[in-house]
Amino acid sequence: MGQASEIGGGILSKRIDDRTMILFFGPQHPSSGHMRIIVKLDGDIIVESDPDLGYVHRTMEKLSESKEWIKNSVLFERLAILDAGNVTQAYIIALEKLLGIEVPPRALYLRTILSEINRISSHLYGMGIFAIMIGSSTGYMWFFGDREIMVQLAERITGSRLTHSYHIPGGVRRDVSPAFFEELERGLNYIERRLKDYEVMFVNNPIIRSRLENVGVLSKERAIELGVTGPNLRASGVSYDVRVEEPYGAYSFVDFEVPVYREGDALARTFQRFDEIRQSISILRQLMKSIPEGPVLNEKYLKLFTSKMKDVLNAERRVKLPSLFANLRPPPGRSYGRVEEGRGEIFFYIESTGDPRPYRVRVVTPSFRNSILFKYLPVGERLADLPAIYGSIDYFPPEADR
Amino acid sequence: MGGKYVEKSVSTRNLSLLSKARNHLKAIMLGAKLFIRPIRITYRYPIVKEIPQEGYRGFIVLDDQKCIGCSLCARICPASAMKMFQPQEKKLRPAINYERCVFCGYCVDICPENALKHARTHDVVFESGESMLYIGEKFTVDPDTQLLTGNVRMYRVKVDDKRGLIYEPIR
Repeated sequence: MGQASEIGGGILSKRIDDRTMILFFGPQHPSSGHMRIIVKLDGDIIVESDPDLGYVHRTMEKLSESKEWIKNSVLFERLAILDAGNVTQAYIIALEKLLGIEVPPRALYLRTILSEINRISSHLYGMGIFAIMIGSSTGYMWFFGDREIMVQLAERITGSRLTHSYHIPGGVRRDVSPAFFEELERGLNYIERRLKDYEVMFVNNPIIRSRLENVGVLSKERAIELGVTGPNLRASGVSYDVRVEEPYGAYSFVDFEVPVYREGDALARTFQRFDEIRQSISILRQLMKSIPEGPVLNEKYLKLFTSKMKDVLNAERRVKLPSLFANLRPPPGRSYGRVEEGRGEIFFYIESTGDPRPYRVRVVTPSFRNSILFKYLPVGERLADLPAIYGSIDYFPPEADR
Repeated sequence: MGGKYVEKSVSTRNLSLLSKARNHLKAIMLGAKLFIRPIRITYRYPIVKEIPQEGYRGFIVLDDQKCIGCSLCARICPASAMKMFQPQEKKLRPAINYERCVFCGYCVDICPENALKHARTHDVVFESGESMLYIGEKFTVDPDTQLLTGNVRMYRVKVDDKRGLIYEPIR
C-alpha cells in the first residue's frame, strides 16, 4: 500500500502500483450522500467497490425501546423525511395489528392519498439528486422545484410539510376539506404537464441517454439473489410490489398498473420512476373521486371523546387524541407491517410484552436492502459511471443507517 | 380492483434519427418558451413572506385561563420538549423548549381543555439557547401578532395548473 495522498479537489486516494489505485468517493453531500464508496481502480475501470455506510446511524431501533408506542411514530418518520407518510404507516399498521383495531374507510383513503403524494415527491427528490450527480443542473432544479407542489399538498392534509405525524392507531389525525381536492387536481394536472417537459429536456436528452444506457446493468437473477427491492427490482424484470402482493390502505379499491422493465440498467430505472409517477397520479385521481364520507377514527376511540373534543372534530376536522394514547398498552404479542415506500418495501417487526414501551422494534428499510448494490453493480464500469449508478439506485443514507 | 403488473415495451428506448431530431427541436422550443415565461417556484424570502395555510403546525401558544395543569401534554411529548413547572402559589403549567420541539402537535391534540393551539409562525430567530425556553408569560404570547410587523410583504401560496405555485399578495 502506498501513501495516502491528496489529488486535485481534495480527493483522497492511495496509489498501489502504476496501474492500480484506491479512491475514496465521498462522504459528501449531494454527490455521494452521507456515505462513501471506496473504489479500487485499474486505469479508470472499477475492479473493486466497497461501500462504507453508517455515517448517519442514530440507533433508532434501540431508541424506540425507551419511548412509548405513540411517540415512536414521530421517531420513525425521521428515517426518511421525504417519505414520512409511508414510513409511519408501516409502523402504525403493525401496531394496529397488535391492538386489533380496524381503520374506517375514509381514513384508509386519506392514508393512501398521503402515501401517493409522498411517492411522487420521493421520486422527484430521487431524480433531482440523480440529475445533479450526472451533471444536469436543469433536471435538478426542475425536479426539486416541482417537488414543492407535492410538499405543499401534503402540508394541506397534515399541517406539516415533511414530518407529517399523520397516522395514529385506528385512523388519521386530520380530515381534509373539499377545497383540498380541487387543489390536488390542479397540482396533479401541473405534474402531468411537467412530465412531458421532463421527457423532452431530461429523459430524451442525448447526453443523459448515453450516460445511462447499458450502465450498471442488474440482471433479473442477480436482483433476486441480492434481495434488492422497490423500483430497482421492478426495473430488472421482477414483478413484485407490496401494494399488489399484500394490499393495505385503499389500494384494493383502485385500479392501477405497476410498470415492470426488463433491461435493468440505469435508463430502465429512470423510466421506471417516471412511469410510477404517472401511475400515482392516476391512483390519486381515482381516490379523489371515490373517497367515502364518514369518521376518520375508529368508533372505539371516538366513544372516548368528550364534548369539547367533539366540538373541535366537527369545527376544524381535527382529531383530538384521547388521553389513552399517552399510555397505549398493546397486548403481548408480535406483529409486522409492510408498506411499499417510494424506494421499495419497508418492513416493521414489533414485539410487545404488554408494557407501555415496545420490547423490540426491527426495521428493514428499502435503502438498506438496496445498499448491497454498491458492492456489485459498479464493478467493471468506468469511474465516471459511478455517479450515474449511484443516482439511479435512489439510495437514501439516513434511511439505510437508521 | 387492485394493482396488476404491466411489462413495459422498449419502444421509447431506441430512438430513430428522425425522432432524435424532433426531440432536439422540442427541447429548443421548450427552452425558448421558458426563457420568455419562466416557471418560478421560489420567492425572495426575508422580504417576501409566505403565510402558511389554516391549520399549519407552527409555534405553540398556551391559554393560561383554560389550562388545568393535567400534564398530559408533557407526557405525550415525543421529544421531551414540554415539561411541567409550578409557578409560585399556582397550579402546574407547561413550558416548552424549542431546542427540542419537533412540531408534531401531539400536545395540542391531546389537551382536553383546548388550552394549547398552534400559531402559524414557524421561523423565529433565537440569539441564545436560553431564549428558546418558553416559560410562564412568554408561552402565552401568540407569535402571529408579530408576523405582520416590519417591512415585509405577505403572500399566500396557491397550487396552479400551469405555473405550479402562485403567490397571491394578501398585504
